[in-house]
Amino acid sequence: MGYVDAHIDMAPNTPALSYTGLFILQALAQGHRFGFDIMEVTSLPSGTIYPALRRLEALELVTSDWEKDLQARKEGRPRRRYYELTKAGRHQLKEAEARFRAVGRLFPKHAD
Amino acid sequence: MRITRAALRLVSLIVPHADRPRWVEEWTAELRHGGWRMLPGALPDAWTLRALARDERRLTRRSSPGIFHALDQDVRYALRTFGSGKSFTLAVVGSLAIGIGATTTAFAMVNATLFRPFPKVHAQDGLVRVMLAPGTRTFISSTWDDYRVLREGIPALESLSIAHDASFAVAPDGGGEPRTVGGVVVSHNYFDVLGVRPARGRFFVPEDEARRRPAVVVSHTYWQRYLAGDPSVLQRSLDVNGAELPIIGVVAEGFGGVFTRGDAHLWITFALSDLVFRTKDGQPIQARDAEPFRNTMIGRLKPAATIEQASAQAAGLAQPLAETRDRSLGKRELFVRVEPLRVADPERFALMAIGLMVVPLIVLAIACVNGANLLVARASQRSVDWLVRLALGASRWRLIRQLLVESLLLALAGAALGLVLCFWTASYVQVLAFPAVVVDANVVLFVVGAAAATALVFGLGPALSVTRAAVSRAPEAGRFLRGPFGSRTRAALVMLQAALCLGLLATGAQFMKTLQVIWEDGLPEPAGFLTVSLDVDPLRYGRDQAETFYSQLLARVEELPGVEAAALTDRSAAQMLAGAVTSWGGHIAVPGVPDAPRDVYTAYATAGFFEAMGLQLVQGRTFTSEEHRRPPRAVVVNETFVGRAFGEHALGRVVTLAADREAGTAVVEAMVVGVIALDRRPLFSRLPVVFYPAPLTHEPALDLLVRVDGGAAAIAPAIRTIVSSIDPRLPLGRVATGEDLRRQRNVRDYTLARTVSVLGILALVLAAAGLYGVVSYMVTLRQKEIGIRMALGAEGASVLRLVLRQSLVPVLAGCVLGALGAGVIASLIRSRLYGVSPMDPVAFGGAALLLVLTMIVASLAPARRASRVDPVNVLRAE
Repeated sequence: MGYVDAHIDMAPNTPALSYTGLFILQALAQGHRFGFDIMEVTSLPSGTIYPALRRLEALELVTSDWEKDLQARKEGRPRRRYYELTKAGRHQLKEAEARFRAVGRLFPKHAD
Repeated sequence: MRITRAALRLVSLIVPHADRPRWVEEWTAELRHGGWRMLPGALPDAWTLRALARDERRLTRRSSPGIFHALDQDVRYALRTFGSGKSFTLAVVGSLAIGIGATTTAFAMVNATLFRPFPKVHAQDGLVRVMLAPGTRTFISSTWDDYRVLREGIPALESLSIAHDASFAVAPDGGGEPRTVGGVVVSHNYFDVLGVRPARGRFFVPEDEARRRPAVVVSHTYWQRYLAGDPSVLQRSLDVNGAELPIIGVVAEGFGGVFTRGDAHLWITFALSDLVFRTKDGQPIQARDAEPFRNTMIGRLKPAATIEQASAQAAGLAQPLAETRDRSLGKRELFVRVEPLRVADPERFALMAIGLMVVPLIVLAIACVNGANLLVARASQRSVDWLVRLALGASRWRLIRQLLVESLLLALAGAALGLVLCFWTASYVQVLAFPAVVVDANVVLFVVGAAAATALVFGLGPALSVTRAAVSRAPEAGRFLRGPFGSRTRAALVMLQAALCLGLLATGAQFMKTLQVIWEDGLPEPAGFLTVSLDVDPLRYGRDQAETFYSQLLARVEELPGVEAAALTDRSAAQMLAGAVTSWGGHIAVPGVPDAPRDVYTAYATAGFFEAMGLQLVQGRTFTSEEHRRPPRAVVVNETFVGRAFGEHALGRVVTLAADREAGTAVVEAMVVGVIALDRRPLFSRLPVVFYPAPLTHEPALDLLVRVDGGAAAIAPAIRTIVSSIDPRLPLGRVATGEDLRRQRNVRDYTLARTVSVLGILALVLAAAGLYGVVSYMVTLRQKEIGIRMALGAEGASVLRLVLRQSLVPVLAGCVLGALGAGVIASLIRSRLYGVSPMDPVAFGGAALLLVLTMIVASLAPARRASRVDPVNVLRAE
């Protein structure tokens, strides 16, 4: 696809998560549920977001469903699909955040 | 937005089928929300989904058990569903039984002719036939010397035998009635080459031939029928053509000879060939001194030898053999052909075999369409079944397998029934002049194969479509219930069935009509007509003796009370009565008229012939009794001959007659004394015919024709008495009344026509049953729609009309198609449709009417059910 995912190597038995995946998990954790909203908040293009969403769903870190018909009909538009974290997804996110915080502590800050 | 939607639909083709509807809906909503800039993401998303689906399939495949896992479950489940849907099961099995039964019977006939033609012959693959031929297609007679040369000159052959068919006058010792019996003159090694075993006694040994021992071998049938199965048969003897021959052996039951016209019942060696062979004047002669005679040479290959080796060796003998022949070959080259031993030329027979199989295959196709329709209907009704199984984790393949198992079981049941039908019909089709039709391993194998193929044909389509509909998890069950084939496909199938039906019915009707016409052709008025075949050659009558006998016989028969006319004719006239014009008889020339017709039908016939046959003389007279003495000095011709030879005036004109076409035989001049009318019988009106009153050569075999006032059969014993009083050793040949002739002639064509008609009726029944099933199903499906219509004010009658119209339109379309098809086929086989045009309106009209009426009846019951739908009940059930 032209872009290269840097894979963060994690402990065995956990699926390899790309940066994109991590961003998406974060966005979902912050309450952005629709694909378009995730695009806006992460500034990633749709060609990146959606394939990543599919893979996360296949890994069962994320789940999806249709929004309520009533809501969509009230607003006069077709119903959309929304995404949310699963328990496993929340767990992954927490672990990743812990690791990044640890990375930040590996090197002393440059005293400029 | 429209362009965006179109692009989206295009991209959606990449998405796996199962996920496609959801994906389209999701992206439509997102595009609506976010605008066209979302679009570029659609393609990568589609590819990702596709890749994920592929990975998932790979995983499940590795972890799933083999494809035949728990097959017994499928079988048990299938049997349970058959039990709960008995009428469905019966309908499908019945249809298939008819189709498979018809096809198997046709195959059994092909099998009997191509694959196992000669019963009781051992290891037929090692047998070859050796023939002399001037070209590639025909073969010619050969002499005893030719046989000796071939016997010594083909080392690849273990041994070579020779056989010559003949008719014998046979009477058992102890004074039984003399009979004409078919038999064969053979070399001593004949039975050894064929590997036939005796049921009693022994076969010939070289000494029998070398020492000219009187000996005869009889068939099992002859022993049982004419010797009453006498256990001391080996102590008995037979009077064969005037010689007393002891019986040395009885052939195993079922063996009737190889390449004999009709069954052979006795065998003698060539050492006794003077009992059968004659010179031109009727003197007995040994075969080794005789002119070339028709024969069959059969050899057995050595174990390691091939037919190609034998062929090559035989080819080397062609030159020396040609040199020993006289000028009879002319410019043609002589070939020696070595071919595998088979009943019929496979190339020529292949066409007949195809033609034979086509009609039953059409019936089978109709049965399969029925099966498919019924299967689809029932499978759709089990949609809840499928959804539950899918929810429990079944794969699509598992569902397909279930449906295929059901189809296979139904097909096997149909095949078993079909095999029983085949047994029954085997004896009936025997009459189509095939060798014994036997249900052997080949036929059983064919049945099983046909069942499997049938199951695939009618089961696979529905299985694939129904399961795809189930697996796509269509949200509305209603859409799924509508059935995967769609109304257009179903209509096309009904149309196809109707077309095939009409084709069969119309063709059968045309054949039957043809036979009506043929039966009139050439036959005399049947009431009071009798014909008796006689042959004095077995008793070695010379020419004078034969003529004396026959004139005595004729004179005494004419004096019998009730006899209106009696005549003698030669075998060519007899063949004409049998409906075959196979020989052109003598050579006619008209002096002074260089382009007189050369191909003229000639026959020896005495004066009473014309009255016996009901032919009208329009000019001149018939023969006088003086003119019966040879050489013939008078002829009677028909108007066609007059037209072609003289133009007009015929009486008193002279023609020359020669016995055969070769130069140097006696030529006789004869005067035209009478002209017979153009008869309504095409044979006598189409061909130029010349009758002469005295035989041109020695004619030992003649037919006696008698017309009596009253029942013809009653006079046969009197004729028998007259013959016995002149010569008690002489057997009567075939005795047939006019009715017998009418019935025996064209028995084969008649059976063929009747078979096609019966199959046509069967096809009609199947198609009607199929239509009934389809219309019933459609009515059930569309109950809601009908209920709504009626609730909105439609009347029962209009619903009835609607259903009938929808079900009959494809039928009518099929009629048109079928008429065209049958017309095309009929024009191809025009030669057999004698006197009936290829598009005979009566045949087609009648068949179409029958078809349409039957289909109306078939759709009436479900249509009436539709018109009686209670809208309240239907809508309440929704």
